[in-house]
Amino acid sequence: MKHATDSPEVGNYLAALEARLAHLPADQSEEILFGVREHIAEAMARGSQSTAEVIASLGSPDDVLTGYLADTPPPVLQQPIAPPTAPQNYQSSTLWVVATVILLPFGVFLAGIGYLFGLAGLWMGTRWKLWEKIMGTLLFPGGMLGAFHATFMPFWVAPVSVRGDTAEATISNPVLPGMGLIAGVAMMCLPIIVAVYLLVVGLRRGGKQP
Amino acid sequence: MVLNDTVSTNLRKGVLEYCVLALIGRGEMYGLDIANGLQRRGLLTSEGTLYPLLARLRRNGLVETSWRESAQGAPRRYYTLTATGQESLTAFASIWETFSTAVSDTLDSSTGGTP
Repeated sequence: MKHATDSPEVGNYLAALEARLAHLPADQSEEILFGVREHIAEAMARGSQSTAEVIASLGSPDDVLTGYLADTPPPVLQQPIAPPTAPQNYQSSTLWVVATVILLPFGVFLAGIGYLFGLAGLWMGTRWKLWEKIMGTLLFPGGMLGAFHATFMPFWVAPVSVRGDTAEATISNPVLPGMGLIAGVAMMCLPIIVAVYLLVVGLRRGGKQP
Repeated sequence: MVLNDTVSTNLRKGVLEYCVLALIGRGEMYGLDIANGLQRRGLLTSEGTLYPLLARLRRNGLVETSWRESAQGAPRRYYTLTATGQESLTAFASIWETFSTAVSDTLDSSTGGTP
């Protein structure tokens, strides 16, 4: 009975099955082929079925392949489902933040246009909130030079005292009379304080969208 | 008829491997015996599809194989359940009991008129 498995019918079936399973990993296709070959040999040995009946009960090679494919989900489906990645929002770089907060107070000394670049960096940046952008713009327009001008030389107030006391007029603050030198220096520090604040919050928001 | 085939096929897909485990769980079994046992019960239409399934169960450590001499002299490969396979089968049996009861109750309530 053993030689029954050597019949052309069985040989053709196994060859067709081997061809269908050719794209599987070698160890898997060999294990399946071995099982089917053994199945046929044993069924033949029992002698209760004809070769044709044994092969018919196995199903076509395509059925076996379909069974394999149905039983084995594509590898990608076996991977743990990755958490949906949020679309990466555009985020200003750290260099952008640092350059902006330097250009805002000091850019005015770079041929004047450095400040404008700082302003553009502030408003185009993604790490600051609207009120922070407004604060950065208003304190002070022109950066350090603007603060200096507002403190000591406001063009809308005559720098010269009506009494003719020019020395006092240049030192005291014409906008806030009596503010004195210390308050004036503090006012000049505002652009620096604002820049430092923008730097800190800008860097802190590096990892997330504001 | 097509509907019957589709429903049966879909239902078999989910339970076939546990039926294989259950058959093997009764004692070591030969591939042909598992195939015949499933086909007799109408759980397997093409016996050849059993072998990809057995290969996967073995890879996943649910069953293991051993070799024995057969009456014909050629060594046979027998399948036995591993501890993991036994656990898996026990877990499925519990799930199946709940599931089949729920389906039966639902079917009874819709066909028997009592919602």
